[in-house]
Amino acid sequence: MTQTLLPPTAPATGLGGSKPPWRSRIRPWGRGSNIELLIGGVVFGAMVLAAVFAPILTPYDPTAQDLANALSGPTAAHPLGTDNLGRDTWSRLLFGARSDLGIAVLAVLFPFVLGTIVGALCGYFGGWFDTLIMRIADVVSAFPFFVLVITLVFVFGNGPMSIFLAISIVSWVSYARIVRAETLVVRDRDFIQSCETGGLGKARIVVRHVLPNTMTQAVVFAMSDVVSNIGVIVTLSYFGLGIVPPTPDWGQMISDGQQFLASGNYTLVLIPGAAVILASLSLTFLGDGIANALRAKR
Amino acid sequence: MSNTQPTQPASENILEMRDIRVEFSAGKGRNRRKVVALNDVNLSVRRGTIHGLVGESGSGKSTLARVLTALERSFTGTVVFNGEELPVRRTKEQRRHIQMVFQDPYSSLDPRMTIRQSLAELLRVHRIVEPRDVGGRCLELMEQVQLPARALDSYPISMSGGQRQRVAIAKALALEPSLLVADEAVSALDVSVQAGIVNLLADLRDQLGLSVVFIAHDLAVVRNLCENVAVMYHGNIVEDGETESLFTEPKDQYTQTLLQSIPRIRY
Repeated sequence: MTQTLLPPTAPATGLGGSKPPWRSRIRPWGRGSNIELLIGGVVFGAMVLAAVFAPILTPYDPTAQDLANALSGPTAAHPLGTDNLGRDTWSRLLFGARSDLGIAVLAVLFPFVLGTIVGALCGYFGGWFDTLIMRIADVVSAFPFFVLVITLVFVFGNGPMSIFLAISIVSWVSYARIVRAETLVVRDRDFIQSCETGGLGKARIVVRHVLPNTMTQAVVFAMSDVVSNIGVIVTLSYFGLGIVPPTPDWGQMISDGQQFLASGNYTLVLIPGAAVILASLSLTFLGDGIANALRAKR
Repeated sequence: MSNTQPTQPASENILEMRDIRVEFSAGKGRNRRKVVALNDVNLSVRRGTIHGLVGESGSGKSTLARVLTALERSFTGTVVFNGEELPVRRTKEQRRHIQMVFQDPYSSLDPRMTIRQSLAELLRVHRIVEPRDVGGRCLELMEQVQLPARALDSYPISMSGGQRQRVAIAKALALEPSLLVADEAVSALDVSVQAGIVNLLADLRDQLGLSVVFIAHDLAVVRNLCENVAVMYHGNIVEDGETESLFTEPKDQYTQTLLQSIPRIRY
């Protein structure tokens, strides 16, 4: 019945490595695996690469018409067939990714940056600034999302720039709300108070201590926001409010192909539709994966 | 209540709080009422000593600490530190001299910064040492709070409560303060770890001449550590004096009740 006592040492147990504890490794199996991040990253990454290298991946101009070969099914020359004007579907799919994914990602960046900063300032300082911004946010979110976006695009006119503007005006509100709520929680934690007693400046406290601890939710939301932006852009283009016609775009492809559904030509709708679904799904996985990876254990 | 303190030469007191009054309003609408958290409190802390502050929950101990460190700004009365009256909005330099160690070691460190980053930020912002000496100073601080050097590159997540509290003390010491406010700094720790932190505070007092306001509800710890003790009750300091005389001959009724409430083991 002897117990071996550990020699009395300095209080040094449990000091782990220097790896940030919230960064999980990207391994598809085993402990600490993050299969969502892997799948989402690979699929979405491939789509982005395909969009970037579109001119290399296809020999055709996506706007070149070839009426002699209109509505051809899959052939050796056109693996995904052609549309009613004889344009190559594969080329239009690739170049469509450029406009759709490009605007979708850009239209997240601006509201993300603006909303995050505004939200952190509102949450940390409160007061009249907070009241003012939150009332503006209430007004924006009082309108149904699509109604407001469609109205704004209608006012600004067609094209990528007005889609970008319309989405930005509406969606910064979500980021501001998310970050503000998180900031209200973090603000009263002792480590922020200890920054104040430590004499750190307010700007430094917000940027170096509040934001890194509140941005996680906003980053995760940004991923799902790209998904909803793709939906918005495709929907707007489907209604003829989005990207101006000769430029290829998935929404227009669906809308153009719709009239040939009755004649049994499903692929013209299904192919761009599948692209939308694949992009959304992979981004959702990516968002989940990032959420898992960023979640700080306390 | 007349607890007029003996007039001491100003240089002997590092801190004098005069007629500090803090009122909060609680409740809403018809139930709105005034709560007096600190009722014209006077407290003097002698240089190089540890001044205990005891009392039950809600007696105003933490509010006093927050006034001291300017986390609470709506108060009346004056805080005289080192012979200089501190304004409500303090400068970086004025804040530097009074540092605080918080109760909960699990929330008082930024989870996204290594210990080195936390310490270096303070050293750089206040220009305590030359930029090239920051690394060396971090090592010295670790030594002072008896943590191994490799702890510098750890995140708080991988540390125990006691280790984190040592880091919190190191952060406070980084700014070379003259007064440390320890608000229930050992209450959240288990007894053996508590002893380590208490000894550390005593060492810092003896070696650096640091003055400490030590807020606690563990009377045994206070008796061992502090030269002077103030007893708080309902926003008032009901008794303030040398530790031994206060423990052996408590004058105030509440102090007597408080001392009797210490559980004792009968043999």
